[in-house]
Amino acid sequence: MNEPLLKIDDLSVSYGDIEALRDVFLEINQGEYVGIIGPNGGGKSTLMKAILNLVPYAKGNIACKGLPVHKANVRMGYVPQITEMNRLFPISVYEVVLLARLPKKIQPFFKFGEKDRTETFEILKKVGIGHLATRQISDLSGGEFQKMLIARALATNPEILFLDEPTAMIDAMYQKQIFLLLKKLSTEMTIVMITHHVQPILKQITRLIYLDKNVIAEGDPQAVYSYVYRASSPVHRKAGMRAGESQVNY
Amino acid sequence: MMLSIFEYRFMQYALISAVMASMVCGVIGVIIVEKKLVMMTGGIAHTSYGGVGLGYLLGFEPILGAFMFAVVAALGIGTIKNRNSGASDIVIALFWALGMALGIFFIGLMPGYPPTITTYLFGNIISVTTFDLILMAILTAIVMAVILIFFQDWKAYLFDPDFTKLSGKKTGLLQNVLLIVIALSVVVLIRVVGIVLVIALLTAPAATARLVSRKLTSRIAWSVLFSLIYSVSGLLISTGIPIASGAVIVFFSIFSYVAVYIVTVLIKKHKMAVKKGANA
Repeated sequence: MNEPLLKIDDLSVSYGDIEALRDVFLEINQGEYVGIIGPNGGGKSTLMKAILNLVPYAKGNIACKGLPVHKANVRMGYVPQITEMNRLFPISVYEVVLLARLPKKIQPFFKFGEKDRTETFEILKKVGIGHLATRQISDLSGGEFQKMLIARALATNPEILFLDEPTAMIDAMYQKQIFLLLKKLSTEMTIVMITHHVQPILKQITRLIYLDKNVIAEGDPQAVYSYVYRASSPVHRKAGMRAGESQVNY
Repeated sequence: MMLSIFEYRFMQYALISAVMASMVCGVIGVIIVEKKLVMMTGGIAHTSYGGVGLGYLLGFEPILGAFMFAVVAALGIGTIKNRNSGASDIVIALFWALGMALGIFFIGLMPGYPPTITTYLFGNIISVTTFDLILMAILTAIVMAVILIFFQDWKAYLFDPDFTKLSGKKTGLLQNVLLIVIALSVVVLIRVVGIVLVIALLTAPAATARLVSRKLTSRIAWSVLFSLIYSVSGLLISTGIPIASGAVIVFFSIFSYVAVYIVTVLIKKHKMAVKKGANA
């Protein structure tokens, strides 16, 4: 049996006294397009940041191809939530994407090569914002900004692409464009996406995970979505079909 | 006529100090404003007063004491902020107050009151000594070199530290170096505008540059230019009136910021009116 691309064992994360994740077990395989849903404060972003080594975890283990994440040498692209970004920073779209190609080591007087510059333009075109290259990021709409963040993640040539609510706070047209782009990208790389807009992509994603501190349900997207929808109804909430019950696999 | 005052050595020193301070303000000011580190910088500046007091008490150069306290405060605030980001305001306030209190305490232990202490609190650019000038030159060179040599890395880190960390860079190192560079900048500016007014000179030129420029590099260049105009103009004005140069420089900076703000708003309104007229 093949080693999973990502294996999370018994992961717990807390912010001071506040528990964000509790005893999470999860595997993500090569080539999957995984959606993660869950209530606000359910630990979705924390899970993603723990995998990316952006938040420390108190307990558990995260392995990538059987190795600790920092030793695995697997390129990971990350699209953070738009609300976490400084949208007034004085920088152009082109510069943002180009900076993703900086070498790992801090290098004096570093200058980008012609290859970096050409490929940056190609990525911007691929994502559909080639015409915005010279614009300052403060001039971008929410949808354009999200596309720029996706382009930046792609500039690292990732094997796994993590996206944290890439369609939050953007209009329906841009949502559709981003989902179409991700569908295309899902043939080239593994994708893990947190979203509150899962319904339009139920047929695109290969697996859906419902997370509320730990994995409540996972499996076939349609089945998990139906389960969550039922579980979220007032009648079922009263009956306790929420966080804390045993995991459901579909 | 006015330029003849630069024949005096103290005015030459003052002018050289103003140029160095402007370079530091232009570069570090923009970083502080964009990274929203203004209050942290205020905390570092005020903590350095403890070092000034210690210098007076133990008989070494007070500016060296300020240097030591500023670096310790920068790293202390940074470390505690990393561990508990929610408490950063509290930590800054505690360092701020502790530094001032230590300064007062050390001065209180002395038999008399040092007459030059106010030059550290409120600045007096015309009292800059040769030692101050050499120290300022070394610190300015370090600050400029650190920022300009690794400019691409700084740009990436300042825009998005998380993504920079993910790409494999040592962001902890970058953060600590940035904090130390801010502390060094504070020390450079203490003799120009004083501990109490350091924040003004670090923010006013950068804030004015923000009104006229939208690119990082040009914003830095504008910020250096504004800072130079403010410092030299303030210095020249202060020679004709009996007010400390630091206060005059800060007055001039803030009035200039307001003036540029009003002009940019009027230009924007004019442009919109022209556009409306063309569409009608």
